[in-house]
Amino acid sequence: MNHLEAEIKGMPTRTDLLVSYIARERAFKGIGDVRAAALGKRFGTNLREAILSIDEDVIHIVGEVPAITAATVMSIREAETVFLKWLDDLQVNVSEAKAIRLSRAWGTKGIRSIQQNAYLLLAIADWKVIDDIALASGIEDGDMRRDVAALEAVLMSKACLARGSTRLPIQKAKNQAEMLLKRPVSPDAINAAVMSKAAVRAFDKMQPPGAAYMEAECALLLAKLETAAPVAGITSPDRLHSSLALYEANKPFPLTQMQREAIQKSHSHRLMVLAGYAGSGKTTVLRGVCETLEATGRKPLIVTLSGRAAKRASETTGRRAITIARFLHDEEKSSSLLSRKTALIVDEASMLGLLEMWRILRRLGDASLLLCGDPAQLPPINPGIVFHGLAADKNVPKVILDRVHRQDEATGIPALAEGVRSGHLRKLPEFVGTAPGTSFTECSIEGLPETLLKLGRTLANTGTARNDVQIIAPTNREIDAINRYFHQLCLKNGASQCLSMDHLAEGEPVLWSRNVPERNLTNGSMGRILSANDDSLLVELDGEQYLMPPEDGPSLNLAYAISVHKAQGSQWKRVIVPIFPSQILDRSLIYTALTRAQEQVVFIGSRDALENAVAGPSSAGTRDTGFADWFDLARRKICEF
Amino acid sequence: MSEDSFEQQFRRWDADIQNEGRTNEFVRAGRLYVAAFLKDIGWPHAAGRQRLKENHGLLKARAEWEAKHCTSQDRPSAALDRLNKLISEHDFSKTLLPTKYGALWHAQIAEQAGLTAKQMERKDVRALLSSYAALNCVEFSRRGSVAPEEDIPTQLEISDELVPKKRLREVQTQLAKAERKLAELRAENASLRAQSIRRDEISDLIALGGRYSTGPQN
Repeated sequence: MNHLEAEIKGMPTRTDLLVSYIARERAFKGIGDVRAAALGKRFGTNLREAILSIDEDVIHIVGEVPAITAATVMSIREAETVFLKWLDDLQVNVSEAKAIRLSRAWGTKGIRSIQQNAYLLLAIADWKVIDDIALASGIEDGDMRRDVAALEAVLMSKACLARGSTRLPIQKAKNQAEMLLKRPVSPDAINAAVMSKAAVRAFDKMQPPGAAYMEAECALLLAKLETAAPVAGITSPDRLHSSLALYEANKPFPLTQMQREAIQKSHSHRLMVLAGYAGSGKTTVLRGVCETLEATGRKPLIVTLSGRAAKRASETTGRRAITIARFLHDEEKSSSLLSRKTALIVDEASMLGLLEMWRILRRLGDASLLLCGDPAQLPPINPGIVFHGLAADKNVPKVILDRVHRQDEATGIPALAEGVRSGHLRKLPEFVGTAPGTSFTECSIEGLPETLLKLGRTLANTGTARNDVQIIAPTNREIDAINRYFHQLCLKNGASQCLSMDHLAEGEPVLWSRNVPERNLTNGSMGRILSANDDSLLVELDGEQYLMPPEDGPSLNLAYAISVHKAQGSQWKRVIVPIFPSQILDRSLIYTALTRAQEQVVFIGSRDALENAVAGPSSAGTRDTGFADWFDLARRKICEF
Repeated sequence: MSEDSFEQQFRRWDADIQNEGRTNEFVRAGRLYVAAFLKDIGWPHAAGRQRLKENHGLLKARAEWEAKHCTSQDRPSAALDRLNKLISEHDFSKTLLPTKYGALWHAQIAEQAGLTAKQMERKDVRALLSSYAALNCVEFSRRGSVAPEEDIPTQLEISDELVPKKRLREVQTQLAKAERKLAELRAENASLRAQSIRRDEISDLIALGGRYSTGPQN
């Protein structure tokens, strides 16, 4: 980060740049291009002082409320510009967005604290970089601040937060800190870390403070919800019975007892967990919940993590479904909480990490909450686990749906999934072509791309459409190799490209990897490049067409093969899953991959790797998270009061 | 009806309006508001005015009433009375007060109203003449053609004389106080907004999972 960047990205001092900055920054509400220009013309080089002092003429030009807001924002942004420059001078390599976030949160006083103790930058930067800076600034090796910082760094590292856990046993934290310090940790370091708010000590373990805060708040909110009736009231039995009967009358199959119970509970409980494994009829339940709630005047709102999952939820329930990112964005804009009439239904809730769950709960307001997911699936990408904990809890209002014996049993997928879930893998036949069912084809990792090519041609020749099949690979190694191979093949066949986005070509499958609510783009949206022009790509994502300029290039990736995480929440008719030995391969990953298929699953690769992964424990179980303990504590405290 | 009964009617009317708390409705310019009184008591307008001028019992009752309910501050000066009377007479005959070269002729007006020069200098007299001039689109008085900047401002130009100086000073002090308070409130508003923004930013820091406070220093 250099001075010029700080000038451009922090708040500028030159009048013309400052005017443009004020006009474009949304934080300066009520001041657009014209007003900003008028301010610049009126005050010139005194613009900054005029805004900070809420000059009468500023009020005259922009109005009183925008003037006060501008003064507020400017004072905050000034501190941030100074901070960015200081970091720049130290040549600290940190994410600028994170640095700005830190300076805005901690203000001028906090920034002074950082300048006196560089270890405070661990909130946003790596241990190695910050340790070097701190030692160079005069902090001695034996300084307690260094010990505290080492513990803080350990909690943020792959030992804890970076691998999905939200806490670490105390001794393990000390051992890891010693490796960073290259000496024993001070006996008082744990207490010092807690006192200086670098760590939280709870339930005899250490937690990063943010994670502890989120878990505790989620626990408290959920503990209050679990014993509460819907704010809008409990539906009378007669009314519920008649709306349920009406729903069932239109179905080809009667509801199972558990399905009926799930729908009923959604009317009598403010919090409901619906755990449904593959093939258990979750969709039927969700549709029933929506229909019966609407019959009482309630409004179901379905949210999912990914755009594809939202599209699928919308198609299967016949109701509007939006991504969580969109939901949070819209709610933030309106500054309102959900009303009592709303029933917030979170589909694919097993994909939510602690952060997403926390954000949703904070915006819940008076609405009811239905968390629907498959606890056997992969744990979330983000740290923490909440849904899995709730699904395993004895007292939370929940329904675990049984497997439904229906037509899709012919595929064998639900049965296979059930086996994998409990650690058993039956013998799978060889792949022969397009046909419902499951199969396994042995191949080496070197031969993977050619095997996939052959397989793909067989599927195409036996009636499979291009968009009906997806390769879902567990590791980036396989994903990259597969995408590279097919990209080269595409180019050899003469596909046109946009030169500034030459990692893509016309006709290739793509995946978008960023949330941009203003453009209705969500992370995980998939589609295909329709055409490549000199300076843009016409791309179809989740059914919508977008003209993408070169700036969008980094967010578009090839999707011949995608990760299991990216595939979560989506389904295809046929799924191909390469399986090779890997540390991250476990039964939840295999279960998640195979349950993405509606009709056919084709495993290819190493049979041993597949069998070992299914037999071993699920990775969700290896995360050490504090939510369950916080939840118990919250329940006890609520009972006490 | 006997003359005494008019007095008795007046006194009964007085008792009624006092009970109802409506006395002030019938005070105008320091005297009994005749038109309102006549309407309220139900006497015919012309006959009622005649009675108020000629009936001894009524005159006495009226004088006592005015002495009791009207203050001297409400009462315009005798000079103003005479000027008002002169204006009414001109209004009746649809003529303007004496003017010369498009401006009120103060000397003539004084003569016709029977006012001295000193009485013509009274604030209430000048105010009445100023508003009469403005209403009738004539100048208040003739201006000198030399050094107009040395003119004494007319009644209407001395806007602060339309409001008592003491009252003006009070209002100006209050205004200054209000402006200071407004500036303080704006600064406080900005500070509270900054705190609110900071709370949102701290939420974002919590979302990173790690440290969100600098500790005891902050």
